Amino acid sequence: MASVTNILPDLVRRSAGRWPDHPAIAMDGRAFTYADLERASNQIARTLKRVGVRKGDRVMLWMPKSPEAIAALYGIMKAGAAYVSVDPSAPPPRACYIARDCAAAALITVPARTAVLDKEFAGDAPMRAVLYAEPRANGFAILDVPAIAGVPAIGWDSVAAESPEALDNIATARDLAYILYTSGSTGQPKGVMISHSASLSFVEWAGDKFGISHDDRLSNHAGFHFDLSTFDLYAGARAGATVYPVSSRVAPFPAALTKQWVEQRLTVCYATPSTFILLMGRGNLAASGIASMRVVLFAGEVFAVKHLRELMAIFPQARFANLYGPTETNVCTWYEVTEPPADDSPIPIGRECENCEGFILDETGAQVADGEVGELWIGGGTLMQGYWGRDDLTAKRLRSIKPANGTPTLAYNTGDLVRRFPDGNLRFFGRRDHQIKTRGYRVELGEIEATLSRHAAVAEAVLVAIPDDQFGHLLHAVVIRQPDAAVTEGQLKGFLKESLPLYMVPERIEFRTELPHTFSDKIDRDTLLRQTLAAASANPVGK
Amino acid sequence: MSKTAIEESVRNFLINEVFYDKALDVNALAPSDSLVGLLDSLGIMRVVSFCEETYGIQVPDTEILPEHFENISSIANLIEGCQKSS
Repeated sequence: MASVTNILPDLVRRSAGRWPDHPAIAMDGRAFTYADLERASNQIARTLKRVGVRKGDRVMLWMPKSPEAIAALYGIMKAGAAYVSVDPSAPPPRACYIARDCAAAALITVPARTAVLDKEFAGDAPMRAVLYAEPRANGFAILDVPAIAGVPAIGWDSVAAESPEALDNIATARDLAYILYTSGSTGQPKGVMISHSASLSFVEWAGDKFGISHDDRLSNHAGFHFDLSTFDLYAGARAGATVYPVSSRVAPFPAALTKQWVEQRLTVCYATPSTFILLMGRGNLAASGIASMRVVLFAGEVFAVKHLRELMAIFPQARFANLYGPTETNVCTWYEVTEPPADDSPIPIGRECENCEGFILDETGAQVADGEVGELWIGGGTLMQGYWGRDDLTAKRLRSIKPANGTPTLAYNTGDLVRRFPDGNLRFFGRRDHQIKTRGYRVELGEIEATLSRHAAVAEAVLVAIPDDQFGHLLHAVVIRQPDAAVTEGQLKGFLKESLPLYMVPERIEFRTELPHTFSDKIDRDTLLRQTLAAASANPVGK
Repeated sequence: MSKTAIEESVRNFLINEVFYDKALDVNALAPSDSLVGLLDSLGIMRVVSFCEETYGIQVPDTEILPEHFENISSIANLIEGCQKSS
């Protein structure tokens, strides 16, 4: 039994030693105890080693949530590799791009994806093997298949035939635990590399700060490609608690999700404000009466205060906290909301967590005067190692800075404009670039613009993000067609959907013959936003 | 309106306004084909708004459940059920 926590799988191994029969994962009427999770992840790790996965490799996970999918995350890390979890609903070309970009040594998926993999990789797959992490499909056992996308596919029966005995740790604390792909401004997603020690630094802080214990029942709403999931999975495992992943069948249905939360008697819940607002608006969360709820955490976007007040009234007994941090830093600041806010101004992003240090710098890299607005740089133990295969971008965003009267520190430029108030709390004041949040997801408008511009009929494309209380932002594209081109809104949306996730497909695409420009001949985004807001208020979407 | 006509109208809405794929074959989205995993929460809300506006019904929040959005046929059943109870 591991007594020291060096890597994330040590959390499961320790809890399996203390509470082997306690449910670790429960969903869709199935449960994995901690002993089940430990055994299955050992078997997956041994299978991956057998097919040639080595320390430092990347293994991609592209499948719906299930107990086996979670065992796969641990199994990949136990094999010494980093997991790369891709949105299960991501368009195949995007998943394929990520597999190639990270040079995935193996791919873990479900048999239902076989035809798609064959088509996308067409005999030129980067991975050495495909592994099916599903015990049965349509009542049939999943057997080995000689060639999927040109490589051998390993069925679950073969995985289950491996020894369930623990392996010695292959990875160390400094090795990569996972790579999370986020939207990239140049048209392709970029991989954020997080080590075991960086992830554990956050998980241990959060577990202690919110007193996560063996008796807790945590929801897991975020996908494993989204950094919110690391709290659910690993703070839960660290405490030997039970985690309830929300299946993709239930996730879009507010009333069904509320019903599940009631039945699960949740005690801890971490989600985006969009999720909570949807549950209050269409899921009748107010009538749920989940008296067990003791910790409610939110992150990913600004929580409109009127909705936050409503949520606090539903769970008056619970602790509420706003967690802030880009994927690159994990959670780095937090603010405990002890009372429903009296006015409607946005709540602070709070103070730095104990393992992080924040610096507010101007454009020249100098610290701003007290109370001035500047860009937030974050240093400390939770920091990413860099962007996968993008040394140029890493060097740009991750720099050694020398605070006044301090020692040089490696810090990440969040790009978020903040101001520190006299009470020590930081408040968010927007961004200088074109990165926005929609439904909790971080989106570079440039990635959508670049994708639109690849369409032969598009001469120019500009994205406008319309602020929205429920979804953070709604996306509106303004497109100039090539002369004589006759592309329609539906065709362009279909084109985008082939390579972008659904949340990056604009709600509306408007065609114009010209765009407003500033005096310096740049596109006048402020005017475009004003015009779009005026039109949107006359004809709202998504409500 | 017959159930077949409702199914056709829901199908057209899904293809043109949710999946944005006008090139879909007529037989590609049959009434019994599974929609599970194809709709996110915003997609579900769009379908609900479409049903309410097109058929003059009110879909109660308590009826926005996975079993009513399994496929086009179950959405048509939901519309018919709401028409009867209104």
